[in-house]
Amino acid sequence: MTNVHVIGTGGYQPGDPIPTSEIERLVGPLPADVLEGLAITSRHWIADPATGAQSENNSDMALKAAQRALESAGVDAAEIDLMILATGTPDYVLPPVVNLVQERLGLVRCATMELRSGGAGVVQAMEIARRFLADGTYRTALLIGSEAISPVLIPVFLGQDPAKIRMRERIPVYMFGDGAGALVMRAGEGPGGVSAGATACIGGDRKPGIHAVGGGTHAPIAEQLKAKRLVDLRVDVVGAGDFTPQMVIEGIGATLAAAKVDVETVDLCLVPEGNVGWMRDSLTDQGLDQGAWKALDGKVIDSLPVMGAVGCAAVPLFLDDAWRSGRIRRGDRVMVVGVESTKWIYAGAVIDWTMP
Amino acid sequence: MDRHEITEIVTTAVVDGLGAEPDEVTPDATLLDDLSAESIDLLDILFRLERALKVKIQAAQLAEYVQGGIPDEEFGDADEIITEKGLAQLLRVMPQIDPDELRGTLKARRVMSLFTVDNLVDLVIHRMAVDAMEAGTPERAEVPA
Repeated sequence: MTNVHVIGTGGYQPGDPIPTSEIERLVGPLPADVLEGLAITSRHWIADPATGAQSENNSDMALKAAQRALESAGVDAAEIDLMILATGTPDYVLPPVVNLVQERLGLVRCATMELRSGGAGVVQAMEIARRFLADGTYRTALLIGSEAISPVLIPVFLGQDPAKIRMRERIPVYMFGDGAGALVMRAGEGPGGVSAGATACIGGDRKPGIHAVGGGTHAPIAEQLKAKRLVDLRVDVVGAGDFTPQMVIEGIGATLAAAKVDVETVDLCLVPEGNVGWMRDSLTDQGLDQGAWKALDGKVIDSLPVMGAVGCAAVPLFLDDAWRSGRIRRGDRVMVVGVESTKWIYAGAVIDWTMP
Repeated sequence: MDRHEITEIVTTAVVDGLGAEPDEVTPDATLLDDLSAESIDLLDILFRLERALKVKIQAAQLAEYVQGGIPDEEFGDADEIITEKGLAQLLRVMPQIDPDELRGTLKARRVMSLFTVDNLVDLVIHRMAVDAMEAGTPERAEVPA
């Protein structure tokens, strides 16, 4: 099979960073140890915290990240023949966001797909694209992960007394950010590139760690309209804190196996939330900080502290951040592992980086 | 600060921490069963009390307080059923319970489900007294009988 390379990356975050001190003013404080465990100092939102007004939407961010990725690849939008987008917070239920971006890129005809696997989505897309590019079905793939979570956070605090906001509702406001990231992939003869990936949902018997309820078809619309908020983002902080580390460790093991590489050969490992306090504490508490995780000590990269939890955008956005900041260099072996705590999905891949 | 004032502050913390209706949060309401509190909500309530009363109670200390320092193997038997020694301790911190009703059936993991709003008031008063003694100002709060 032909090798498939990442030839461009792009990222976009809306507006100015919102510091954690501002979140505290809006929703009330958190215990110092919880705040330290989250390790997020700033995030970007499309929604104005003061008014809830939105400066842009999911597809706007996705387009900007895509344009930056195309620019870094030196590829014209007209060359794209496969687009895959991952999001959990689309502009509309339908049409898919990927097609809104397709239209704005000026592509009348293109193969498109949209994945809804949260933080694992773009890594799953990498494997789908790798196969289509390697067998010659398509030549140039554009992969996008984008997330607009702030619109569902605003109703938690706008017009509310911060003292009356429950901690279970405060924590998500501190955690989440908006943004988009994109990758351009293409088949090539040179060595390196993207290896075979791994993915699984390991929560078939487990309740969701995050549940976004409302606006779907689970209950009659008339019944849903009686809810306090149109969409309620419920985060099981304790459950996610316990099981996400197990998912990360299983994801790393499966990715190494699928790529047929030894952990010692990995130069960098991108795991969103991989460097934050709660994850490291939980790994240690559960005795999971051995083996592959120990071998990756000091190699884990993660932009979460300054970007927040950005769902589908995390892997491509943090990858772009690492490449643009010079952390990732040509010749590096980079493992990416995206995890999704709604229903416990992981996806991983290894990239032998060939971009300058 | 007297028990009445502390009860008011604890009740407000429980109402706000659980998003409950004030009339639901009665002294004899159990936090976990009657008011559906989960561990994150207990953390919330304790954090509100810390801010309002400057009394720091860790979530883990709730269970420790209830168990009264009795080792696990003496608190419950091999089947996790609470022992006589355990029941006597529970009666001290949760005087509303009926030991005869619970004898031979109460499992260790169900103990916290008996913990009421009023029991939390007792814990707060106890903690304030301990803090005050450690700070050398025993007049700050009354130790419960």
